[in-house]
Amino acid sequence: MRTGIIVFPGSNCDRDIEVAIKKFSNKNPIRLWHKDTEIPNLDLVVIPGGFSFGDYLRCGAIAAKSPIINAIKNHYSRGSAILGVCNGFQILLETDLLSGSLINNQNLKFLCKNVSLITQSTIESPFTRGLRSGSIINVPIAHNEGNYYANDQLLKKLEDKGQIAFKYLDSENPNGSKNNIAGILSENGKVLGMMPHPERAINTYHSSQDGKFFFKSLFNHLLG
Amino acid sequence: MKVLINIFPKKEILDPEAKAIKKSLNNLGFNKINDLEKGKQILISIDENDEKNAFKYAEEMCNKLLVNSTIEDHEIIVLKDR
Repeated sequence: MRTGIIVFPGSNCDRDIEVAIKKFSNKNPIRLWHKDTEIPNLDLVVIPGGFSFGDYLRCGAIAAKSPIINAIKNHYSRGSAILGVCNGFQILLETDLLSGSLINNQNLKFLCKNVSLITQSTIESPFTRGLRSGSIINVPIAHNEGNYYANDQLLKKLEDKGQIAFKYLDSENPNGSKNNIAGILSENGKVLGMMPHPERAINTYHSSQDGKFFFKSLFNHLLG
Repeated sequence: MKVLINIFPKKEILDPEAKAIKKSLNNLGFNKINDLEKGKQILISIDENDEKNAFKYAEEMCNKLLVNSTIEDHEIIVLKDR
């Protein structure tokens, strides 16, 4: 299994996701710079969190026009998996690999806290295959623009086709996201974008270690 | 020639920042405000003398990068005298 981490100017979770990949897959990911125009054959590409290009214009908008994006789209065409966490989710939405938008948190505050994520019943996907639908993991969020917005038609499609991977508890929706959405899948299930950070919940010194459920299930599947 | 691009959140999108600004103005006694929208402006100087071409050029920039049409509306104003 080969994984790659895309690094943009302003990415800041690339190190954490690298640690998580090493810890749960025993494989070393490669790092890819946003100016690269080709990426080798990989099983998983991760777009990490951060503040790519200073969040200028709109979060993820400028990163989504980087040279590497075409290579990522080719990787997608080959049927390989892509994970975008936080700013990575915002970038995936701006590239149209995922649908909808992330706008300012409803309370206009930067949110940094643990939330409960409920795994949904989804289409076949390497990201949810090993997680029981309805199970809850506790992982942190850290964002200012995590309020997922989609029009009613798109929301219905996401719900009907099983493209919603994770939801916040209804009583805990931290940012005003429509339908409590915390993470969504592409139509083929191979692309996941999520606001919460599973890579920040894997160690004894983290406030939760529930991220291990996410990564173990993902790499069990990818490692075959 | 310069083009001024005004970008606003779509009407159906809840804009808490605009709400907060309106409320603050209301608190200052400005009670005649029906609605308040908060957007952004981008002013671009283009190497182009034809008004129609400048508009088209700006529209293309909006579609490719400047505007996210799922959440934003925009208008392009060609400034002849600048």
